[in-house]
Amino acid sequence: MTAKHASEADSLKHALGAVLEGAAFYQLAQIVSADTRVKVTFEDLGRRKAAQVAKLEAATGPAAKDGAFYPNLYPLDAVSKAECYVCGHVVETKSMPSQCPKCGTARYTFEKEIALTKAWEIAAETSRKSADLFRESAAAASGKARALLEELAKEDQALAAEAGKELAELRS
Amino acid sequence: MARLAKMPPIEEHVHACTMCGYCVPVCPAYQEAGWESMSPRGRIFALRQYDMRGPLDRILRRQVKPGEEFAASAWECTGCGACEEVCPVDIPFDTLWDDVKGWMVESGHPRKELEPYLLNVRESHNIYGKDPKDRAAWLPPEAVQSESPEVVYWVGCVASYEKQQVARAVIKILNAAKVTYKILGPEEWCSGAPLARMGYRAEVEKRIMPHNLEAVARTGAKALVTACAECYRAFYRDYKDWGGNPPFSVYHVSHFVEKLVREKRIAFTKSLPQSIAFHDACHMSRVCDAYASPRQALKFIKDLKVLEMVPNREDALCSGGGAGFPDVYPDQAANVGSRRIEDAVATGATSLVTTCPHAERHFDTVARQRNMKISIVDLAEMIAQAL
Repeated sequence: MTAKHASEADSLKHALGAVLEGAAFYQLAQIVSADTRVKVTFEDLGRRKAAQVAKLEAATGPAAKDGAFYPNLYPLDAVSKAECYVCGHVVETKSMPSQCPKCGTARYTFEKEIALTKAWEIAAETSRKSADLFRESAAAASGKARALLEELAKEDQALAAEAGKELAELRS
Repeated sequence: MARLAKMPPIEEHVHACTMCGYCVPVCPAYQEAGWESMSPRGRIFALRQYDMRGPLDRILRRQVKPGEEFAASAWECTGCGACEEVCPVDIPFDTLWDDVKGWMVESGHPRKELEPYLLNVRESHNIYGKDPKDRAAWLPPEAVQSESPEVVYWVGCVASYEKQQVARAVIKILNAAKVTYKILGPEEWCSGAPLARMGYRAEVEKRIMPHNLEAVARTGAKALVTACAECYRAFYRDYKDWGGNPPFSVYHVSHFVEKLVREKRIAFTKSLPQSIAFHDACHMSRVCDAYASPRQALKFIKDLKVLEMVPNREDALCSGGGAGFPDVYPDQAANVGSRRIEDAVATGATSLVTTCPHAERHFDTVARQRNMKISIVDLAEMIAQAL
């Protein structure tokens, strides 16, 4: 493999890592958040990331997931575990039970109060960072890969702008 | 407030929801899809938004009416009734989802995958589009029908065309008890229960229900017996809800067997030394609150060990085979069915027994696709084997 090809492959791995991380974050966030408005917002954001995953996987193949580089853009730690507010029992968010296995309270005792402004703040910040990452990756790529990464950068830039508008509306 | 979304009369229920989320983890479609909007609470949240939006929202370019995206989530539903079972404010989800799907159909967002079922029932009076003249082609030579029957045996589309062994098993039971019966043949139309769950309730209410009630009543029989959970639900609950009021008693074959045993008209002579796992069919158990009768009927069989799957009764997981779910979301439906078969395998049973031929067909398909080693048997077949 030539140096250029290696660099292009790495740039795709970085981009794939960023979108996979985003998809995982929003999936967990929509499970763990308590407010339904916040849940559906995270779901909407998650679906956009899932669409980006599909685009990148179409370019790299599904096996590329294994070699993806995760840039730690998203606060995954904040949503990967959930704690029962009655007894303190901690569970993995992705396998959140329908009731607390320790004290028997309902599932909602594991859910966290995340404000809608916080959800859009996360979206604004992370999409700005991921847009930068896609642009940097595009610079190291060529042809179809470059076009795809530029498209992803534009999508995330637009998302950052949308999140900014939502925040302005919520704060007004 | 000027509302732009012209909803069916469901606002009261939509606004009664406390958003507690009890319905979320029990929904088999949500368990597979994983998105909030695919859960009962997510759909109620969306409906509430549409119900509250007016012209100002339209100016602000917010979506004021449900579109394709909402319609896709409306059919993320197996019609299993698990959400209604757990709802602390008693929202009648079972009928509410029928109304919502019907509304989506009327608003121009039907599911293309389900339209053939409606056309088939309109043209051939069965969901498969098969020749109505062949509806009673399964009848064995030992079946002797009466012109003044004690009961009408309501066969159902699946047992008439696809799982005819179920129909023959019921005939064996009726013959063993010397019950006089009649089969309607081409005069038996699809009960409409599957169609009602697909969004075509209006068609069932206006056209199918009146025909079926009239066809059964014309025989003069005092009772209808069926071995199909969906048909049972149609006659026992849906038709009554829609003002049909059947002028005859409605029995699932398991109820009827219990009655026959009590009246000493039937005796179980053969022993069946095996272990089976019993699956509660949603439309019979959860929706019609009939948990005991199939278990009681199986208890009559000598040496048969009936094992309970976990979860069971009110908490039982759906087969994934209802409401057209396998047609619209085939992968999710197969996963739900596969998980239920795994529940049966975990009991150590060699067979999964249930009361719904629709569920049996779905289980058969999933077990074959995924090479799962368990046989799927109808309750009527088990009973017939023991006579």
